[in-house]
Amino acid sequence: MNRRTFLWSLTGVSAVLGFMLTVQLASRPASSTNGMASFLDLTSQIDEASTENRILAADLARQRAQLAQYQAAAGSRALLRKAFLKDEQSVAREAGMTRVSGPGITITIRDDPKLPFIPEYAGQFSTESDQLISQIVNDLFANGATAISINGQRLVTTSSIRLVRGLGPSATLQINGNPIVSPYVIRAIGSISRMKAVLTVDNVAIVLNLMQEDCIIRTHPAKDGVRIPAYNGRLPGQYAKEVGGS
Amino acid sequence: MIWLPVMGLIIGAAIGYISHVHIPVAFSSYLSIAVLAALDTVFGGVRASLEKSFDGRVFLTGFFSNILLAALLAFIGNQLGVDLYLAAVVAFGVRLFQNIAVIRRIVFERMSQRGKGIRELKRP
Repeated sequence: MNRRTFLWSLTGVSAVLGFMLTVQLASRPASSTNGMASFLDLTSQIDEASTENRILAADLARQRAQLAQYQAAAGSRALLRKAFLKDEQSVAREAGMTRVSGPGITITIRDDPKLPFIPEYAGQFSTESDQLISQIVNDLFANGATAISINGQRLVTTSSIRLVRGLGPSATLQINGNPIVSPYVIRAIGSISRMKAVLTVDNVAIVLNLMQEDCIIRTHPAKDGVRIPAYNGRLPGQYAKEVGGS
Repeated sequence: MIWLPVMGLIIGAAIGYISHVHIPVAFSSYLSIAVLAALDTVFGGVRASLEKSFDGRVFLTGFFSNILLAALLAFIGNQLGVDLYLAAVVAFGVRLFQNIAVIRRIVFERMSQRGKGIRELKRP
């Protein structure tokens, strides 16, 4: 009787165990030790691949259109020249080599001795102006700015913002290698609301005021409210030439 | 009659395979710990049977309560951010190997006793 009970109990338990084992094996990927992490990794990889695919597809369509334009103009020298000029203008515009205008904002930073003197922060701007202006510029570019200039110096991909110290205590701020002096006027064309929002979120004006620097932010919503000059600095390859035959 | 548990295992596996039951990946670890608890109970039952101390009620209640408690422990550990399921894995793992060792010893003893008996019967 005892043995029979044992066998039937074991049979029932074995059936349940078999069921559980099968469900477990079917539910868990055999090759994965961390199913959830793999799932999330794969999902993010798919997202990234989809985004890349979209960008590449758009790029391909643009290149095809350009190719079609060249092919169409191949028979006519004038048309080919026109196509090349259009292409050159497009590249120059993207590289910041043309003047631009549009709605945007201006930020004027200047010394203001009337602001409260806080020993901890006062005068700090003169020693960190490159970092602070770089941060403002990066924030603007990251939040809708399409063209920026500082004291008439257009910022492009090869631009530099450096605080250069001499032998004395003074330091000069240089944009694109050109020295500039206060007041610093940053002009930015782009989404006014987004640019103003990021400046508010980062407390730019408050931080500068602590350093006894006045920060005036003005919006220019008109169609050509802000004018930004073309980049007129040195171009890559002007002095340094590629060594051939290597 | 010994083939009955094997048949049960096959039938259970077949039902699981045919029914296409899938549990969410997040609960997979709970089921795996429950399977370990079930295996521990099965081997415990086999050992008890060989030692002539098997009790059906203890066996069946132990089977289900161990499964539920192991899954619950894993769940609580997951909620608390502590790997509590490791405690269950260690406990069941140790017991599993102990039970297997005892079963092996009992089987060997019985086989040797049976061998002696056959030799004595063949002796003139």
